[in-house]
Amino acid sequence: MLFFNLAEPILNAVTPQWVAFSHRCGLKHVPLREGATLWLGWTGLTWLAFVGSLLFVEVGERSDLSLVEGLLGGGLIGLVQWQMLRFSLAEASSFCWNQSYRWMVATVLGWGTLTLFHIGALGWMAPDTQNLFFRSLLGVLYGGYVGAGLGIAQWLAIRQQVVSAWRWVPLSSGIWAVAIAFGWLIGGCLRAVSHLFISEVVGLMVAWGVIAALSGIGIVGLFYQPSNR
Amino acid sequence: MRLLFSLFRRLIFRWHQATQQQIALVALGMFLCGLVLLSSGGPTREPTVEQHPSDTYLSDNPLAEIHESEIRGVWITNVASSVMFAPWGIPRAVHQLAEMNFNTVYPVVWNRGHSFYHSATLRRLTGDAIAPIMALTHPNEDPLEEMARVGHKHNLRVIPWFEYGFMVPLNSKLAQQHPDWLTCQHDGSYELYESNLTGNRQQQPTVLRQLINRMLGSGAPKTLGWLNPLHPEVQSLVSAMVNEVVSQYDIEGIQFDDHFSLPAAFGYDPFTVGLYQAEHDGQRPPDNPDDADWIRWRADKFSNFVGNLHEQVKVTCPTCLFSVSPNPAKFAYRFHLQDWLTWVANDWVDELVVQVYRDDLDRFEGELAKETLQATMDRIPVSIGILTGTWRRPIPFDQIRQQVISSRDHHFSGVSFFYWDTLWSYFTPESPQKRRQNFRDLLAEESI
Repeated sequence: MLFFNLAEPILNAVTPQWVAFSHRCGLKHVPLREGATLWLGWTGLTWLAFVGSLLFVEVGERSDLSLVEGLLGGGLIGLVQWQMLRFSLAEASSFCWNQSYRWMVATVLGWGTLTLFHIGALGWMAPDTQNLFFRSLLGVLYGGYVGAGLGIAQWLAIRQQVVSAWRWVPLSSGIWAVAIAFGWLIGGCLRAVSHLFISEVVGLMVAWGVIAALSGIGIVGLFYQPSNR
Repeated sequence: MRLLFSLFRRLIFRWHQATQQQIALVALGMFLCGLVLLSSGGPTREPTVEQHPSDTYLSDNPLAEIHESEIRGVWITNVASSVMFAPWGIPRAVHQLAEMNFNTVYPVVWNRGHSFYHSATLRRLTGDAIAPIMALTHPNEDPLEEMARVGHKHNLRVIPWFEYGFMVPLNSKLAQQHPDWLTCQHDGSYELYESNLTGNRQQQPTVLRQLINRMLGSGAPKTLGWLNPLHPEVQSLVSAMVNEVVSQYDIEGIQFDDHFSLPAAFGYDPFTVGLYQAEHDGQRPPDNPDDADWIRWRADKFSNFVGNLHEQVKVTCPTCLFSVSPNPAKFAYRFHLQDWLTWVANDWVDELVVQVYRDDLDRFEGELAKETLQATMDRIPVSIGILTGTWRRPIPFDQIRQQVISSRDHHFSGVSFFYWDTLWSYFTPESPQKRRQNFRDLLAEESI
C-alpha cells in the first residue's frame, strides 16, 4: 500500500500534537493516525481507479455511455474502495472486513441501476452544453441526484454496522453535487480555450479528485465515530 | 434433473463458504475479461484471409468493387498516434473504421528513418529491421501483415503509405551512416525548415515555437533532412523497400505523398551539382533555387525515377495500385518539384488523392474546381484528402461534412481523411461518440 507507506511518517509526527489539541479543545477522541491513513488511501486509490477506468470506459456526453461501461467503471471504483475498507477497518470498526464486500456490490449495483435508467455513469460524462452557468447548475442537480442514488445503495450495505448510517445519503449527494459542478465548470473553461474534448476528461479528473477527498472525509467520520467502536 | 439440482445446491453451498479473497479474485477476473473484450473491439469472428498478394484484386473479391463506389479512406500514422504501438491498436482501429463504412486504409510503413514492417534492406543498412518500439509491441506478427489481415477481414483496401518519402531525421542512423545521400540548400545547410515545404521562406520557426512543436509533436525529431531523390543509391533504397512491401504482403498498392519529392530549396549537394554540370557544359546550377529552368531540370530527373519505380511495381505486382497523394498540381510542382500532371499523363499513377487542407470552404471549392484536377479525373480515380484535425489544430465536424459534400458535388471518386486519431478521439472538438455517429451518418451507403 503505497499511500500507507507515504503517510505513515507524517502521521506519526502529527498524531501527538493532534491528540493534545483535541484534549485541550474538549473534542471527542478520534484515532487520527488510522483515520488519516484511511482518508489518504481512500482518496488516492479512488482517484487512481477512475484514471484506470479510462482505459476501458470512453468519456462521452450525456446518454453516450453503455450499461457495460457504467458497470465496469463503477465496479473498479467499488473494488478499490472495498479493498481500502478491508485493510483499514478490520479492527477499527464493527464494520468487519468480511462484511466489507457489500460496499463493492452496492457500488456496482448502484452504478448499474443509474446507468440502466439513463441517469448514471455521470462520473464519465460531460454535459452537452458549453454555457458555464448551465454546466454548474446541471452539475449540482445531476451530481446531487446520482450521489443520492449511490448513497442509498451504499447505505443499504452499511446500515447494520454503522450508527446513523443514513447520514451517508445526504452527504454523498452533497459531495457529488459540489464535485461534478466544479469538474464540469473546469472542463467547460478548458474546452472553451483548447477546443478539444480532452478538456472534459481533465474536468472529470478534477471532479473525481474532489469526490475522492470529500467522500474520504465522510467515510472516516462515519466509521470512526465513537459509538461505532 | 436431480443431478442438476444437486450440483446447484453444491454450488450455492460453496459460494457461502467462499472467502473474501476468492470473491476478490473472481471480481478482478471479470474486470480483466471486460477490459480485454472492450479494448480489442470484440472477439474475432473470421479466419485469416490467405491469398497470394497478386490475387487480392481479382474481380471476385469485394475489394475490387470499391473503385466502383466511393473511396472512403483514412491515413494511419505513428506521429501523435498510439494506434500502431498499442498491441490492440490495429484491430480496434480497423474494426471501428469498418463500422463507420470506411473502405480504404493507408497505414504508415516508413517514417523517421524507420520501417513499420520487417525490412531486410533497412536491417542491412541500419541494423534495425523495424522501428524498435514496434518490435516490442508486436512481437508475434508483423504490423503490416496484421493490418492487411484484419483490414481484408473487414473488406478494407490496405495501401501502405511511405509517409516520410525522402525526409529523414538528421540524427537517424540512415542519415548519419550515409551523409552523402543527403541533399542540401544553396548555403550548404542540410536542415529542413517547415517553410521549405510550405513555400514561405520568410517564416523560420522561433525557438519557443520549435519547443512547443516538439512537445506537441509526439517526440518528433529536432532536425530533419532530405535524402537526395536523384542519387542512385537513394533510389535503390526506396526501390528495395517498395519491392519488399509489394512482393511480401497481401496489399492493394502503395502510396507516396508530398514527401516523395525534392523541396525546391534543395539540390545543391555535390552529386546533383555534378550531374547538372555534366549536362550543362560544366555550368553550375543557378543560385536562385526558384529559377524556372533549374526547377524543370530537377523535376524531370525526379519524374524519370517515378516512371522507373512505377514500372518496377507493376512487374512485381501487376494488380498493385501506384497511389500518389500530393498537394494541388501548381503548388506541388513549384515547391516540391512533383510534376504529377506528367506522371498522370504517362500513366504512372493509378490513383490520386489530392491534399486539399483548407479551412475556408470557398478556397476548398476553388481547388476542387481547377481544370487540372477535373482533367485528371477523366483518366484516373481522384479522391480529395481532407484534414480532420491535428492536436494543435482541431477541426469541427461541420467543416468536415461540408468538404465531403462538396467533394461529392464535384463528382470526385471519394475522400480520404488525415488522420485516424482525429477522426474520433479526445483530441477533437466533439466527443468521440458524437464524431463516430457523425461519420457513420456521413459515410452511410445511402448517402452515396
